[in-house]
Amino acid sequence: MSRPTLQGTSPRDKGTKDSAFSSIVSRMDQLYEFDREEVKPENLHSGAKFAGVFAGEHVAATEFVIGAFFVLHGVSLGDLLVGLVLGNLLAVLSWTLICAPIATRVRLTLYWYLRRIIGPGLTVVYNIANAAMYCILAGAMISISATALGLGFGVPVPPLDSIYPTSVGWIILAVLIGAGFTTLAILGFERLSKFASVCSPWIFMVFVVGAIAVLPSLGVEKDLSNLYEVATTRIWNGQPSPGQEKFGMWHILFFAWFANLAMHVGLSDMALFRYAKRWTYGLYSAFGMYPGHMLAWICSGIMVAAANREMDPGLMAYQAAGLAGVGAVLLAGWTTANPTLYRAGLALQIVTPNWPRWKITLVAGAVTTILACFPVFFLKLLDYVALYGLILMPIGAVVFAEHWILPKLGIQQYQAEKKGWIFNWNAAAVWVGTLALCYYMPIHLFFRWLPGYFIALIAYVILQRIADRGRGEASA
Amino acid sequence: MKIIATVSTLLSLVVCLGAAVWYFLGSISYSTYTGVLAVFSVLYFISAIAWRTLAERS
Repeated sequence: MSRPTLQGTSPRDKGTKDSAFSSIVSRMDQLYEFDREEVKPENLHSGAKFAGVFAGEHVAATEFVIGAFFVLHGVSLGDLLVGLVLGNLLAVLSWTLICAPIATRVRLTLYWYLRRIIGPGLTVVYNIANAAMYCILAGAMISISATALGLGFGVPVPPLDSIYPTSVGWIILAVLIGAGFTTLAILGFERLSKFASVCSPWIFMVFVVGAIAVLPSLGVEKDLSNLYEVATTRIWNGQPSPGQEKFGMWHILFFAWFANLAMHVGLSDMALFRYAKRWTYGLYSAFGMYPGHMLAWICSGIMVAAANREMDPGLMAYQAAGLAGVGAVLLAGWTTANPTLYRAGLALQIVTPNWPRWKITLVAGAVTTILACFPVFFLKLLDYVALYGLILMPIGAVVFAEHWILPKLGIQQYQAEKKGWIFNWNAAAVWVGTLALCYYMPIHLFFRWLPGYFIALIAYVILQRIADRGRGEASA
Repeated sequence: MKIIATVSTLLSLVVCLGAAVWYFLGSISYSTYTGVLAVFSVLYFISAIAWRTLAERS
């Protein structure tokens, strides 16, 4: 396949070099230069590799909190199982039917494909929004790790309704862990990434082992004869903890679906699937969703029930697996925060001219550490995950519409690239407008992204149609 | 060496899982269970890193 014409070689692109964005855009292009080329057929990966990547990537520190929150939100066993099976299935289908087909056709990362569709300027804005999201996510990872380290120093975990730091000890812990994670990220991202892949099977094992070990404390008999009874009365008993909203099957289904919304519907995983031989490789995401998310969330639910429903991942893991449990929380936080910090640094590097990588990682780490001091980010993790996906979702809809719908309706594709737009204002309007509409939707936060996605699709097609008609009239 | 590292990696995980099952069945105490888990977790990391290093070299 030939290299796409998105490298700023069009006459209009050359004409924009004087604009305020041109230097930022060129710096950004340099950063992503390494994955500028389309993936060649000889570089495609086997299905087993995709299975391994998904199985390894979807057991993170957040899993300790998410499954536990399902219990605190009073989900019943039936609702949990049906919601997880169907929600994860929808996530797998989103990877298979939305993300993988586009990735295997264009063989580019989302960054380079976005540049053709929404213009380099709006791509910068998208990158910065993504960086902010990454910083908050890494901050939540640090907070979760702080609960593990806090055990040894007697620092209490902030109560569920906390927004601000509740003690000096918590701030010191968050700063220490944040500083440690940032230093390690500066010292060597690649080596740590390799170490993270070694950690994944072990962390997954600690989830399973911990859940098995706490069963006796919940009253489960050795022959498992009362397992169902214990599960429905002592774990997922349908009774929310004080101050927690009651969740049903639809909440779980939608959460499991949108937990990685930015990756599948938001198309970030184009970076991964551009190496797939066929679009059906999206089905390998099931290795991350079922043994990963589903089982880990069930295990952390069992562990929090045994810890008297206290949202304290460190204590929960310590009671279930001793020092290995504490180590798992710390390592899960670290190995997930590390690439997140790296990505945030990469995204922020476009607005920091000539800064070396260590300096920008330091800034991203400092911001993340400050955020980690605020327990609200991990105590409201479910809402944050929903917002994360929601904020980036309209851009996924824009790309989907541009790739599939516009050619079918005879509307010109890649107008931003062809006309040399720095900003595709239609895409920007769809992004902002969709989020504004989602904000006012009278439905639960978890459900808003789905109607929002269709609104974004339809609105973008209409706006591009109008822009294309303008072109037709001008040429006539 | 690579085979030893591979077997040792897998065996460490199996022993950890086995310890949890033995504890669940009441065959071992909590301190024995957590001790086995800690020791074999360390063994897992040593073996897994060795296995990965050897795999990369070959």
